[in-house]
Amino acid sequence: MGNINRDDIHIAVRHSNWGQDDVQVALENEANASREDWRKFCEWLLLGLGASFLVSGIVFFFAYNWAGLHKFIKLGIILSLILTALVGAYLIRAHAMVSNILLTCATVLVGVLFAVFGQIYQTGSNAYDFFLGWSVFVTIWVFSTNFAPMWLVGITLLNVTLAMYFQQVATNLTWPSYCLIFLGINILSIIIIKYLSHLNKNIIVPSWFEHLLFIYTAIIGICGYAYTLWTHDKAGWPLFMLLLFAWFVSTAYYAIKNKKASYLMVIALSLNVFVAITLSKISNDFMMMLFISLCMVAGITLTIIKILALQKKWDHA
Amino acid sequence: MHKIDNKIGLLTQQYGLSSDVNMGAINGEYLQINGNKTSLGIKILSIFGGLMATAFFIAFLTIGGFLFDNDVIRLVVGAGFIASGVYFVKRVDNLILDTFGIGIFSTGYGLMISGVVELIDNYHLAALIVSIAAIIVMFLVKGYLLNFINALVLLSSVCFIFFTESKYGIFVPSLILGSILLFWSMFESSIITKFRQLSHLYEPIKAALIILNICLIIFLSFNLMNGFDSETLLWPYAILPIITIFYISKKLHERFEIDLSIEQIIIYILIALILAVGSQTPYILMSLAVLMVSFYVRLRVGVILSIFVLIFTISKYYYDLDRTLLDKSIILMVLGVVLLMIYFFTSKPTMTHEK
Repeated sequence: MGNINRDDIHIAVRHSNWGQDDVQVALENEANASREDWRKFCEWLLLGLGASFLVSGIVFFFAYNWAGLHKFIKLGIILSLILTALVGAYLIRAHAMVSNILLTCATVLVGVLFAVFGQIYQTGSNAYDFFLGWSVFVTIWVFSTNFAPMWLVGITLLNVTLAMYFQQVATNLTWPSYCLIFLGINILSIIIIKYLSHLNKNIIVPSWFEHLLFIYTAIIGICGYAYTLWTHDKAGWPLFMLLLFAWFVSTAYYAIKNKKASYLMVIALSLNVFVAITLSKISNDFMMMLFISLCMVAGITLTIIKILALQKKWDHA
Repeated sequence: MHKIDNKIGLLTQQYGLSSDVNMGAINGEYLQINGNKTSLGIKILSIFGGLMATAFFIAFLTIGGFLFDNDVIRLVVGAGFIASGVYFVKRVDNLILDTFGIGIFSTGYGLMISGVVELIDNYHLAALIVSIAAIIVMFLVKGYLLNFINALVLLSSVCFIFFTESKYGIFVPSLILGSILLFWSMFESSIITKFRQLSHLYEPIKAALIILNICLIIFLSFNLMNGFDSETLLWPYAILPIITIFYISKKLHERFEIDLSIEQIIIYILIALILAVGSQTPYILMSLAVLMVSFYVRLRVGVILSIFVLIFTISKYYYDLDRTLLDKSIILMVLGVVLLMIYFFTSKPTMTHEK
């Protein structure tokens, strides 16, 4: 079976007198989620939601800053929770998913530990120091796991640390330089993860993770370009544009080589937005608005034609 | 052609597809579908492109001052755009022109809405007129994306009518749309067999329902019901996701012929407890319900969006000032432990089996 989908059933219904009960059975068996899908879904939902509720509860608890609780007890509770999570992750390492989720919980708890430490001893450090410490202490765990949500936590921490650093320490940087560093760091993260997965076949990079990171870099590109166009201080802009161009070209090459049209769509959409932004900077006259509108329709239609042709070519290859 | 025969053969043999099937019409439809075969990415690209083109076109009309002051012209031009869109789509049925179609329809609806609102100075009547226009257009055009836009306009207008009519604000449209989503996804076979010739509208309406429900969850979590008696409708709204989750669980039990053992009854009781506690934050429960519905019908965009909304609503819970952080932390920790217990309880046989 397996080659019948929802559209096939709907077409057959439209052109026959197929009975409702039989249609129901066909939909359940061929179009809706299967028993195996549901087993995986429940496993992920229960574990993911259970772990995130538990960790969120712990975060909320320490954010409440209960005065009745002695400082050593607070630190002791978090440390023992981290240790429990780590020992648990080690002991049930045969069950990879549970072990990885425990390690992700430990990663979040390290942040709670730093926050409570700062709360108790009033270290007076910047938010940047807090996130830097957190990122540094969990780096090895992020690298040692073969678990995309954990990589996502690591990359999020890296981005937040950078954002805090630019907000509180390196305040004299220009917007393009700021975007250049963000773009560079995230591109580097993708390259490292892809390279590691190339070296070790056991490391599997899920498609959602790749797409999420790539869309994020495209958003950085669009924001960097758009905002710089309207600011006077453009130091670092050529380098930013060069990196963005190289990134889009290399990703397009990768997409064509690996037959992944979705990347080409993101690039094409970004290019259309670039054109619209540039034209609206040149003039905000009403005729220009009409021109941009027509350009958008033409650009997207052309993109769709090209991508469909490419997909057809891939299907026949 | 051979592939289509195989599919129809399979449906006839295994699922009792009647022999009076009109093969000529089926072949014709497959021919059209194969010519217009599209992926999710292309659909998203078309929608983004169409909406951006619309935004710039409306900017052109506004900055140019063509339609700004005259509501009759706006209404007429809006209706003209929609009518020409219908004519164009019927003449050139090709998916590469979807972006253009979406642009024309969105501009038409935008102008029509602003024209009608100004002209008759009655929001309810305006919404009613727009929904009637959307229904007429849905009967006339066949494309997935265009009907998705039509369904969005229709359902948003219905929401708007209930939103402004009711003293309970966003709660009533949320309840109505949530119930329609549950009915629409769970009774697919009845809907498509009762309205066979209109079954091409089923999928776009389902997608629009999921997107609008997700938007309503976000609105609700932002307490847009400010100024309304929110406490009164908190429970009725929480009952909807609870019914949805239990209904899907019951359906799965029947479908996979799972016997109801004592262990499962305990799990049901635990789930009931979780849902009862979660009823204080119905938007979290509702995002969970939309996630389950989307997964049930294998709607990938719905699953991805509802996961994002679930994460968002849980984060939003932190900032709700209705109870202290200590209370919230205890609730979350207890829920977390119960969910993990259910996991270990249910996955134990599988884990042993894997060994």
